[in-house]
Amino acid sequence: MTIPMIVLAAISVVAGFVETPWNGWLSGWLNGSGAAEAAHGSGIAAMVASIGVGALGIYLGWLFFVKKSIRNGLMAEKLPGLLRTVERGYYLDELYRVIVVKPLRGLGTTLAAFDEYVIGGTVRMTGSLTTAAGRLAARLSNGKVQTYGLAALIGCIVLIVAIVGRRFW
Amino acid sequence: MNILSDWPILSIMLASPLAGMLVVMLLPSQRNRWLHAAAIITTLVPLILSCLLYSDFVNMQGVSGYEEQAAWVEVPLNKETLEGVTSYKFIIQYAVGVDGLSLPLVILTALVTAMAAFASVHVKKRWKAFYAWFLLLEAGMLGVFLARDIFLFFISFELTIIAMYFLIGIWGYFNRERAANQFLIYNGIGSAILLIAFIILVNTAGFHIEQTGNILEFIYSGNYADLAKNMTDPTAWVNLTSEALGGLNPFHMSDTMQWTLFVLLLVGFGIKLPIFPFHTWMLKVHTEAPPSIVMIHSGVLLKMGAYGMLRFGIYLFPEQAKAWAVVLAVLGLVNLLYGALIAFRQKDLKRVLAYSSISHMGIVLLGFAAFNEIGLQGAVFQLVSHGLISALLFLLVGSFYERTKTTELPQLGGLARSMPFMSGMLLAGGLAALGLPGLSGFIGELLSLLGLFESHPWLAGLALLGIILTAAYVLRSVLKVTFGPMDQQYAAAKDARLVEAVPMIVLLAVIILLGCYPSMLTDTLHYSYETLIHPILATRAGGLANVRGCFVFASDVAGYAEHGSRAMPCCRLSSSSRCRSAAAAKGQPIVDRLGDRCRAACFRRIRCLSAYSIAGQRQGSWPSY
Repeated sequence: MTIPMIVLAAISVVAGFVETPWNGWLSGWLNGSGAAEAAHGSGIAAMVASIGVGALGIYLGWLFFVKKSIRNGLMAEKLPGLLRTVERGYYLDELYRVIVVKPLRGLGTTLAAFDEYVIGGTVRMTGSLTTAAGRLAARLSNGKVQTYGLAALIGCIVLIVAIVGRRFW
Repeated sequence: MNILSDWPILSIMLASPLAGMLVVMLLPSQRNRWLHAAAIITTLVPLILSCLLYSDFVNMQGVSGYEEQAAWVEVPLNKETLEGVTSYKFIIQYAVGVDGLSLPLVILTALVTAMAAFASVHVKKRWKAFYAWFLLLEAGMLGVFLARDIFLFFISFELTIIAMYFLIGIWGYFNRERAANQFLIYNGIGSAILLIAFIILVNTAGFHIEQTGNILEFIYSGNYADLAKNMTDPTAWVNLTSEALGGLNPFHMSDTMQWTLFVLLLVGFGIKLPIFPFHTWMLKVHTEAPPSIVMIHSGVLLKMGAYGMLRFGIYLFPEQAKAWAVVLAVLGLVNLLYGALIAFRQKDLKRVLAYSSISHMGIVLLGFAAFNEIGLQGAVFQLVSHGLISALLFLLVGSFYERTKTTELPQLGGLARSMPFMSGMLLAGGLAALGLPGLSGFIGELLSLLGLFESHPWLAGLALLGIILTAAYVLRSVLKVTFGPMDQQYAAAKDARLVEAVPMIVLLAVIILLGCYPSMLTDTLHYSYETLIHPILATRAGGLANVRGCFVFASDVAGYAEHGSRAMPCCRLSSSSRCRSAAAAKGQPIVDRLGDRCRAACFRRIRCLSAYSIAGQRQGSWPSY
């Protein structure tokens, strides 16, 4: 594993130089002209700041682990909250779980229930209503003349009411 | 001799499964291997023929349209009331054809069916009947995509439903009969709606008069070419109002009727697609049907809904489709997100995939809603791509089930240890479904959404959420099945047999091929867009964009809007008043063709310039300013 790491490390040391404020190989290649685009705004402050922060980090690491002038465990005593926050990656995973994953799961469960009971229920109800109507109609067609006569009579009355009734409204 | 030009190749393709069905019926019913081999060989015939067609289609850049026609049924109607009419009849034609839209779907059908024939190895009873219905199903599906007559289309469509009913009901899993009944009733309702729409179409747009010398024929025909021609032709009977004719025109299709038909077609085909909330039947089919049939169902049969919606709904009624683009987009978005969210919470792998199908069909609707070439290409690409991917995934689920006897996610796990090949395939299929670049799913989603971003950027933005959710539910299920601790009872399970591995490898190969070289498919779509679809959209849906031979001033279009004709508010490009007055002075409406820039702007802004305005302009009854 050491040799690939050495190779990768060597490449990564050089890789950053494809695009620097004084040398725009990458952007030139990307925009196809071969010439670097004019830098948008001055990034000097950002550059200095980020290099400064990086250097500070390296210096702190050196104090902690190489020179050992800062006692190991000092952070845990003095700033336990900060240490924990950093250890948990600024709680981003937890935040993500609360903001995104849980609501989506809840929504998914709700929709699944909706699909099963409301949509599926409507379909099932339509089916059973049709069956029920068929059963009712089957019961009416029992071969007894009286039943048919009654049905015909009811139908006549409905028709008469409908026709006569239209004159009044 | 050139087979393609000399032989009725489409009819051979359509007839080959039926011939195979006869062969299967003549074989002894106990010889499973013979029956299986016969079915596989039969399904290879349409596959080879469709590949030949494809190579020819691409070589000829789409100009070689294949069409075969024959009169099938002629019903003479009562002509006594009509004077001087030689014949008055209703024709059902045997008309088949392919173009750039149907060719990819024909190939998909042939491919998925052939692979499903391989995968039918797990059928355990009544092999003879199974393969007979199976081949009849293939004939029906090919008929749907090849048909150029609305009745042939409908008959083929019904044939698939009947074959599916028996295939689910006899060879399915535990609740098979219930699922088959629900399938039959739900799809029967859809078909009834379609039949109503088709009959109205034939009675209006299908009517035309043919006159050769003294012979005057009044004809109702369901030929798609006739329907499309009459719908776009402003002088056709279907487009002449009674007032314009100076008498009663029973064949005129009013605006309301157009809308009614459009909605009927949308619902009828929407049940098949399925569009939310018409999807419940499809979940049952996906969980209860035997694996090789689910491959076909999810891979091809759902696509028939989208194909029908495109060919009959959107191409014949582009104005309505365009006006309802937002509705289509919202429906698509609902399908996409609803399916994905529920798939995320399912505990059964089959149900995950069933809801995933709903979700992916949403993307097809989004492509339709984009209403531009990219979007439509994306929609069809997504159809083909999802057909391949879902066939692969359901094949895998079926093969896993044979070994584990369950598809419940909590009971599965660690299968990668005992079945590395199938687990790898599942991962690859899952990655294709979630749209990993390099696999076909990505192209379909990309093109559809790209198209939609042009017309409805906000909805397209929302649709991106669906893509993320897809990744979530696909990876969740793949992880649960293949990784984690393995139940000891699965330790002895064998990996895929050769007969199972062949379709998996072929399907994945095509998925990768389309993902890396999408123009294989987009080219054919493009040819047909140019020659077939674009003119229809152009003349009907206000596409001044590319109307050849129909040159108008942008100012004239604006003029229409001002004159309060049927044209909707449209673009007001700064047109030269000089030209306008010159045209008015000459009394000539048709003056010049639009500049490219102007056309582009016009196409973007014009909501809808109805056929009536173009009709008026062609006939010279231009409103005076």
